[in-house]
Amino acid sequence: MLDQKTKVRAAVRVRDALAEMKWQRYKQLQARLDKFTGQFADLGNETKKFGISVQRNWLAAAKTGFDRIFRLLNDISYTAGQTREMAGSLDVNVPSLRFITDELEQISNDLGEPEYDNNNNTISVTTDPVNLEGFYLGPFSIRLELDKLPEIYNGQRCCRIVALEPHPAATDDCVTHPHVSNEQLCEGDGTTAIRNALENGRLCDFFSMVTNILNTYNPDSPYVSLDDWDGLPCYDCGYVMGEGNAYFCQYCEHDYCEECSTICISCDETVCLGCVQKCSSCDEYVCPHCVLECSECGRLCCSGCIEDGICLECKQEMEAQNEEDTEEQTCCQPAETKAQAGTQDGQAGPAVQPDRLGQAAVFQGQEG
Amino acid sequence: MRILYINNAGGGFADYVNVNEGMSVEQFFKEKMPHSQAGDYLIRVNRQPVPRDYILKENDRITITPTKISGAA
Repeated sequence: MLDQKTKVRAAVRVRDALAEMKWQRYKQLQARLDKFTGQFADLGNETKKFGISVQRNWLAAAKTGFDRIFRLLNDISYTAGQTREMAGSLDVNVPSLRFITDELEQISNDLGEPEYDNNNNTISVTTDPVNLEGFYLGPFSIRLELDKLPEIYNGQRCCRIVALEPHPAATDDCVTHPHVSNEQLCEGDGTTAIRNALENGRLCDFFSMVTNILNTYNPDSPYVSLDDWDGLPCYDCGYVMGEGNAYFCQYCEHDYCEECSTICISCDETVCLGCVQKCSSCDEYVCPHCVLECSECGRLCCSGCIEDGICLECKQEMEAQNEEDTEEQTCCQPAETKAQAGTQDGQAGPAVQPDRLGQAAVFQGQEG
Repeated sequence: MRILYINNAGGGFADYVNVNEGMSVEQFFKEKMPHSQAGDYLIRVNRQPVPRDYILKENDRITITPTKISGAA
């Protein structure tokens, strides 16, 4: 519990920050007024040129001048509206110390004991554990950084949402809540009301509204939807899948979705598309453990497409080569050899006439 | 009579408004938030929770804060 001394010290720091905020707002208003008067000066110049064009009947120049004047009138109207709104909201007094200590007291009653960090100049409130549609997100610490309060008009954030028991989204560790990223809350529908509460020193309203945003899920605009909150992201494509639908690749040791993984044709093990090889012969997927290399051509194949270390294609080539070699040998043998080969074999070969065929024997005394 | 009305739904502006004597918190809420349910809001008068039949007094401060506020990304 904040003791009285700490409460007063915190209240003084809050009041100082609110006074600085008002000063910054005056500076912002001054910048707006400068812009406004600048636009009026431009309007004056364009009006003079327009007048000259009209007097001299320069219709084209008059048209151009008119277009510029019309745009300036729109800009001036817009700037005037914004400047007026800002000037109107400056009618806010810096609250008294009593008011601020009452605010701290109300925070204790409504939201639990606030904490004041003197070194970092922050006031913090811890929420109850947040549970959105069955997803446990744990308690959050809402930390109002008083030093940054005056800078909100320069686009700075003055509040951090720290997850005390982080249960971040599976796809992004920085998203600890559907509407919190990197400890920054996107206030959404509460933006204007929260800023007004801060400007008026209504600290309890500020912490209440931030707590209510943390306890409300807006499915139309989260950093990460609760539908994608749990589960595993695919290491390749990022798709968030339920743990039962993830496929683990033992080679790179990551989880993949069904689309980014496959099964080895040889061993039926799961392997990711990054680690898997394709058989050069049958085009099927093969894991690094089962893939074989052809000793002839070096191509990678599955076990079904390699025999004795040689892929089927190389084998076919070798067989075709053998047949060609055999045919060539048969065509080149000599004729005698062929004939001999024929009689010796008992097969009919070309006819060989005996010696002295057609010759008759001539005996003595048989002359004439 | 005059009371301070802080509406944290929407703009969150604080304005002094005139209300009739004897108006209760419930009547005030129905007048200012005719299409809303009181259960969806945190209603405080002078920083304290009050029953629905509490009768508003001069210079009371009534704060109405929605319990469901949609954040964004």
